[in-house]
Amino acid sequence: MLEPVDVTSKTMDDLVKFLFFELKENNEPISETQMQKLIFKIKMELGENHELYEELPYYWYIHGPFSEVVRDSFNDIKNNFCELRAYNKVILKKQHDDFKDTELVDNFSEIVKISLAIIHNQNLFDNIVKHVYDRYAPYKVMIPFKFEIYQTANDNRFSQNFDVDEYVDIFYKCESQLPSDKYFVNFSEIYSQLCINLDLINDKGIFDENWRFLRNLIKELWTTFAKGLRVKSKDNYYNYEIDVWDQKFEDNLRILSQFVDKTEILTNYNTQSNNNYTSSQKKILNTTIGSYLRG
Amino acid sequence: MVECNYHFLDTNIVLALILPNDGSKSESAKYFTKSSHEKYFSNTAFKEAKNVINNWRRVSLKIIDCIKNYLTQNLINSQNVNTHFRKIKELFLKRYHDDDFPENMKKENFENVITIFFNDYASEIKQILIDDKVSELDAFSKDIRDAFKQLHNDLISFLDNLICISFVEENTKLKELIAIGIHKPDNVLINEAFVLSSFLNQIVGFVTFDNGILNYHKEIIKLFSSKIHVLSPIDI
Repeated sequence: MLEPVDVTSKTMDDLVKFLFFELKENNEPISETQMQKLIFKIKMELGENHELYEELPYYWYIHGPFSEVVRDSFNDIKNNFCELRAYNKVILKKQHDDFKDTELVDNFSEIVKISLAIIHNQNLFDNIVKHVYDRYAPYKVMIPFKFEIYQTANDNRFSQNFDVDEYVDIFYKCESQLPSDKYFVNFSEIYSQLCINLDLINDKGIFDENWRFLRNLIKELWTTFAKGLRVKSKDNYYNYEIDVWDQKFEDNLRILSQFVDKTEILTNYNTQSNNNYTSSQKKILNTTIGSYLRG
Repeated sequence: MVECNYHFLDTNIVLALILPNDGSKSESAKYFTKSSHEKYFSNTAFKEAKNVINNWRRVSLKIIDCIKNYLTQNLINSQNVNTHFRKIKELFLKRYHDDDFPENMKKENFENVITIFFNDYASEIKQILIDDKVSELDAFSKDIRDAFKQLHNDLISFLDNLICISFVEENTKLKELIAIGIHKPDNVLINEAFVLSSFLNQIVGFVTFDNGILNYHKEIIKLFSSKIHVLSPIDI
């Protein structure tokens, strides 16, 4: 088992305290998710060569870059010094001057500069989650996958609320952008099978009546991808987790595959002769599968 | 040649038959027309056939996406189009440089098909690059989706002509098959043919176009004590 690299949580505690202080100055409450992304943004602005880069350890997961160290520091301050201001958002009950005068702030003035630039940019601060995906996501497919495929499944109880044809189009668009990294090849095969099945279910006109089952499956699709993602896109601090995370990804792939097999029952196959292929369609099939079979 | 009344079909036999205008199709079609043997197909082979279709759809769509990205980042004209065309192919293959089984396929076979793809579509792709027409790439993607969907439907429809069975996983001879050079999924299918042979108490012919299996005919006969024979549809 690999040991975690020696990272003190003091750096993170000091940074979280400083950010809470500045947010109080601006009368700006913050959720844990926002704090996670805000510190990730600071880390990225500091750059890989900065000596604090490794002390702000992150991995990419279901809702973007996540740090267990940020979570712990945030919860400590939240539970001891904050009040709830809006849904999930907290702010310091009263100002604490000592939160500003920390060793971290004294030694790294650039942190102050970067932090204030983000907090004072209201548009960036309000859209920090989307911003870190657009700017830093390890794979470009993650943006439509998370914000269009997953979000649609997560937000809509009924598929009548969105354009299903367009939704299937986005599935194919994401298929064209799936990682070519061999670690994701089994995930890609499951994804592609679900993709064609959703298309066929839509052709059959039974998407709406099966949406409750499908939306959970689609959410699981993203969650499974995220479990693989954290293995591939993490800081060295989390190396000690890699065996467990890898196993969890494999376990999820197995379960996901079984769920996708269940969608086969919903698909309706119409017998049609090969005469229905256009010449361009014949060409693409023979260029790819035909050549593959000929070896 | 030993007469086998029971045939277990490899994935490539069925794919070759349903593929429109494929070079192997006539051989596969002849086999289905003249052979009156009882034909078996397994769920594993069915899943493998679907994977082949899905994987090549995904790869084709990835190539189009790769071209689209390249097009948005480069200024291309008729003078430099050949250089850019070559770079796109190199960029695409580079994604898989450290992978021995890109997209779960044998590397040599995969790279060969990618080369054929770029050769077959050279003039169309170059024209799109010169004209800077992303909309034509979108139309191409839609055509790919429709073609592969039709093939997927044809695969399912064709299964009505076969006895399709599901096997409980039995690892009887999987390792021995790997030892003689036959890997997954081929070893799983041959192993299933053996399970079928034991169940029927008959000699079963494993019918395939795959030279990688046909070349091991003698070893397979020996391994399965003559219960399994490997057959090419051309010889039946």
